[in-house]
Amino acid sequence: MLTPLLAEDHSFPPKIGPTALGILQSTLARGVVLCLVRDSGWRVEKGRGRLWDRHPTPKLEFTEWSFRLLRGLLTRHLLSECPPLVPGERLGDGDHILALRVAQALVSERLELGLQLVAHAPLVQLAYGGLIQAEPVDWVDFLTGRTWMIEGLSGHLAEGMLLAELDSLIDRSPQRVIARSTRRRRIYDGFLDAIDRLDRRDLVEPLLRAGERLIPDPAQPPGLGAIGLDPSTSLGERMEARAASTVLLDALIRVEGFHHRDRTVRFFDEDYDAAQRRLARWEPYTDARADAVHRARAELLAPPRSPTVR
Amino acid sequence: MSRCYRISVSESLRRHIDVDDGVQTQLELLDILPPEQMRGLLAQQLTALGYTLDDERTATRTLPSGVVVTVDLDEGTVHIGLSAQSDLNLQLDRSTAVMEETAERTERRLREQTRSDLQREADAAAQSLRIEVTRRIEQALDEIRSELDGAVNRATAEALKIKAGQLGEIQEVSEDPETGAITIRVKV
Repeated sequence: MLTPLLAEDHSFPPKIGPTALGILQSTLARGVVLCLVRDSGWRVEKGRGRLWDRHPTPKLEFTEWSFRLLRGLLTRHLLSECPPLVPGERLGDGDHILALRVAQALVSERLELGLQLVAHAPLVQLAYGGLIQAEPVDWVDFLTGRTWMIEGLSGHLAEGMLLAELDSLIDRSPQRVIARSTRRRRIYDGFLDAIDRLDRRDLVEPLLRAGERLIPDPAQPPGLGAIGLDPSTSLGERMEARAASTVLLDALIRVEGFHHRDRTVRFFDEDYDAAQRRLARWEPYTDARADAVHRARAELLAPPRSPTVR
Repeated sequence: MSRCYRISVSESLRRHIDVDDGVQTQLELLDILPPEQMRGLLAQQLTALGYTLDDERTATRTLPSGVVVTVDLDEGTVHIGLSAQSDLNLQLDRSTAVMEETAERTERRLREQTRSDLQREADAAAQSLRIEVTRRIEQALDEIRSELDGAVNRATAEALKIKAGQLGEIQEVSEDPETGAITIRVKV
């Protein structure tokens, strides 16, 4: 639906008047709120309510970057690689969410080359990290005061993580798998380090949701990681790519480590309630799925089976 | 009036091709006994399979296909690799009809084209040798995997018997060759 709008060049006025700008800002603000509510904001956390009950109302600021982004989407030919749209100042909270939604639209319309436009946005990196090249994010700095974004957008973030994982499943080039997986690993590691440091390990929700969708039935886990590599490439390269492609599995194993820590939190410990909430969230993920993740990782790190001789 | 010529060029290319490929994996040996004892038991099992102990920490075996398996007994890593060499001696002759006034330019172009075709042929030969090397390693993988799994299992079983002997008097040892399960009855 968005393809004709995104893939073709359109004329766009260099400036718009205050009335049009007001309408644009109001439309974006309403869209962003709707997006947060529909994704995960509606979810009720026991004893703490919905997203808007748990956090003070954020200021959904859109800077001139959002305006430039929308203009870029309409005026650039997104079927070829776009240079990143560098923000002139710090992105506002509204900009961050708009960037993620734009990335999602680009990916769903098979316009991944346009993703570089929004490569500076941390949420885009978290969801689609393998597909873009960008400067590392200071996750502690980003998440401070913005944890509600991860809570409210965990479905969209999980979708991007899943897509990045499926991308490596069908990629035939070992070099590309290694490059993309290395970028994703740096992002997931940085994110997990930050939430651990901020004592917000409940923010692993997008990873858990991605894991649940990746392995719908732990009793019959699908083939995971880089298993579609070109068989005419060297075995050494393919093994390196397979080892690199354990990135989401490694992140899920680290999340499992958080879970084991929560199991040791005692009733009289300060963190008890939060630990119980995290333990409750682990239940639908299941220990069986965690075991399947370990098995899939071991399978990827072992040399592949000999091909059947016909 | 210009005259028509037939020009021929001949180019040759000699190249030494050296390709290798390999994978590295890890053996999972349980710490039933101190590391040096476990290493010794594994070395015994590997020697029985035809591995050569190059030094105290490396066991090597070369399969009939030329694939070399190297086990680092300290680290528990296994490298399975193969390298191959080939000397290429390629020659290519090309000819074409040209007009007198363009003869020099056409010959230069024909020569460049011939060199480039030779280069492509050499690259294809190198790639095909590399694919053959990879294919031979892949075919050997299952055999090596089962061979090493067997060696690790037997070393583990030996370690268990020694450990059981340290705990008390071994009264009975039974092994199921099908499942690999081992039952040791010990009087403490």
